[in-house]
Amino acid sequence: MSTELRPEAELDEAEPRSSSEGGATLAERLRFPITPVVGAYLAVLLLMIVSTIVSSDFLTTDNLTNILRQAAPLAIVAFGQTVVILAGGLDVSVGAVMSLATVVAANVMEGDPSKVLPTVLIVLALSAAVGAINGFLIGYLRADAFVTTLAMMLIIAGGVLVYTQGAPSSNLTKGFRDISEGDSLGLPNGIFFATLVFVVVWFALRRTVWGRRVYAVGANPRVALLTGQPGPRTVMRCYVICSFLAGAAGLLLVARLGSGDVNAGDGWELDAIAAVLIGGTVFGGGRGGVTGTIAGVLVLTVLFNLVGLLAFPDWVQLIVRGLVIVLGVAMYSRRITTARV
Amino acid sequence: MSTPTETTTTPPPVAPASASGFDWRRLVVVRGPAAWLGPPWVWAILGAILLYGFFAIPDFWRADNLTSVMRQAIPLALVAMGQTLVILSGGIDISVAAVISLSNTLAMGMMGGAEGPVAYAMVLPVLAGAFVGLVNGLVVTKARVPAFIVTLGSAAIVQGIVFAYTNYDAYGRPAESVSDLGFASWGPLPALVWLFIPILILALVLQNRTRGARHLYAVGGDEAASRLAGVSVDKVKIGAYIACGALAATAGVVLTTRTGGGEPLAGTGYDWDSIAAVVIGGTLLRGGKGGIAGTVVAVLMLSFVDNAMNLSDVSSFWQSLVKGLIVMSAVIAAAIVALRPLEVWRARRAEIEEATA
Repeated sequence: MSTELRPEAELDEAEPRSSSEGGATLAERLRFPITPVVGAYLAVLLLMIVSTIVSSDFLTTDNLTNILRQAAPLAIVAFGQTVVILAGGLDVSVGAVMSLATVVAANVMEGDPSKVLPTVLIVLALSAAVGAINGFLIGYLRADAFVTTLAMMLIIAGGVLVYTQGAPSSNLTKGFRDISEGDSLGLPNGIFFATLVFVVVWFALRRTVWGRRVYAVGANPRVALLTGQPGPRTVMRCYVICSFLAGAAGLLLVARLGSGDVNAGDGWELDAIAAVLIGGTVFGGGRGGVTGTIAGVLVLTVLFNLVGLLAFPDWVQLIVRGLVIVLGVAMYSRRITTARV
Repeated sequence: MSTPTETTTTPPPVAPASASGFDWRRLVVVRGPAAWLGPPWVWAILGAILLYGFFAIPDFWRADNLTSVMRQAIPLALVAMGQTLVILSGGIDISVAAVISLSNTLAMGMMGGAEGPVAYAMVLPVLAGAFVGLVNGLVVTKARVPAFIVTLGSAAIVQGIVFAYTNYDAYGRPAESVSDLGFASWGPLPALVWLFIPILILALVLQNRTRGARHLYAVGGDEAASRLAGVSVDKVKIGAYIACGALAATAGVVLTTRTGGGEPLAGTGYDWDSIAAVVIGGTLLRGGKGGIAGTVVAVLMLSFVDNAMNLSDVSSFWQSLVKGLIVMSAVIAAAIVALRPLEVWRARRAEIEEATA
């Protein structure tokens, strides 16, 4: 492996020893480590301050509620994506899974309140099944994560078209739509789901044996194997979780949009990956976590919201998105030990 | 452990160092037919489809059908060739779709239906594509950002520029001579196919006969080792991205010969399709192994599959599903081959025999 990258990559975890020598960095002077996660939250704060100054509509209850409503599905997909990236993989099929979820939900529900629960279960089971296939191929057959999930994306996109014959469907019940459109305690419902997912995923990653294994496999699959950990099984579960959460996010999305659309999830995989990486999780695995991902999600959502508030044309949003993705990741690129894909 | 087994871990033989002076053998000695023709299994699948078409689809084997499939395959073949180079270097380029849209609208906009600026309209977009590739390569190598992220970002930026340039609408018009070229046939083949053949041959010679390409394989195979061996890794990688950008832009220019106006989304789908073609063509996504020959045959194969389904009245919905299944089969096949089940089995058997002996 690239040996000359090692010492540099470990710098950000080393003790600030040089402070007595006068060459102290800002972080050392503050006696406060600016880790990528802290950096990401500082970026959110900065962005919100700038937004407040630039647009008078930003700091209003309506707008902030709106931001949270939009952030909820992205947060849920991004949490799943975080797990997969931590395990050293990547899942580009989450956007397609979200489309699948919107289409299946809108077609199966048929506007019947008694069918809401079965619909939700069907969608989640279907999503988890997609993840199981991805996970089996990547974990056990050691197929490349990117192309495997890419092929899965193409298959789902085609399958969804065959299933719907291209026709949109919008037979959702009012009660179901409330999971995104309704509010509780003055906050959009989606935020409660996202918080629940966050707590569960955080606990699973930080407080369970499985979570330790995810980090171990992501940091060095060979060492994980030699220390007798069930690498393939761990990896497979990561993909199941990721797709499951993508399905859940798709449900939230269809509740917001009000109709199933074969293209509803387009681009979400890229935003999710961007949010994870901006949140300080290292591409290649082994370092990071869902705490940073929240900041990544907020950076993107606030930014898109601001571009919308300032009524810039769409192409500005595209360019801003591109710049943020590259610059956001470039800031941590010193930490990236295995710059692959 | 037994000592004799240690010899099995020696690295594969390195290509002989280039001799100083001209060596005629370098022109004729073939480094394995697969380097020039692509892996046999892609040909086998292509042959199977051609055979199926021969028996099952009446209009499939008409000369004009076969040649038009070849012509339609050219843009994807060009993009996928560039993508192959980047993937060989160990990277990936998601921005090709946006670059195609850029060069397509730029060429159309520059021509605007007039004959005068045709030469510029063919060259400048390609340079623009090469520039995007240069930026991609610089960020990947100097800022050490993963290629996936860099090209994802540049895809968004370039597409944003295209939208700003075209205002979301069809833009520009091809010159008449350009459209004529797109629909012309020289002898048995379409003019575009004739123009593509020298590009392909040149690319194959460059891939198999130059030091730069050798370095490309080395960098993709083991970056740290190539660096230690004195290969200027960054230059090689940047070169791959420049070539990929230029080839994608060329594909965008080729598309101008067949349509009536520049499309701001002309490149949609070419990113994933080109990666799929590279994978099916037998190039490892990890880098260092494969080549453009396999990619081009894979593109041809995919085009014939599309064509066979079109002629059999398969709905476009099913077509995209079938395409996904083909890519997935290739991924699974590649994964199984990479696991080397036979060798593992033999090794295990030998171990057991040794233990029991």
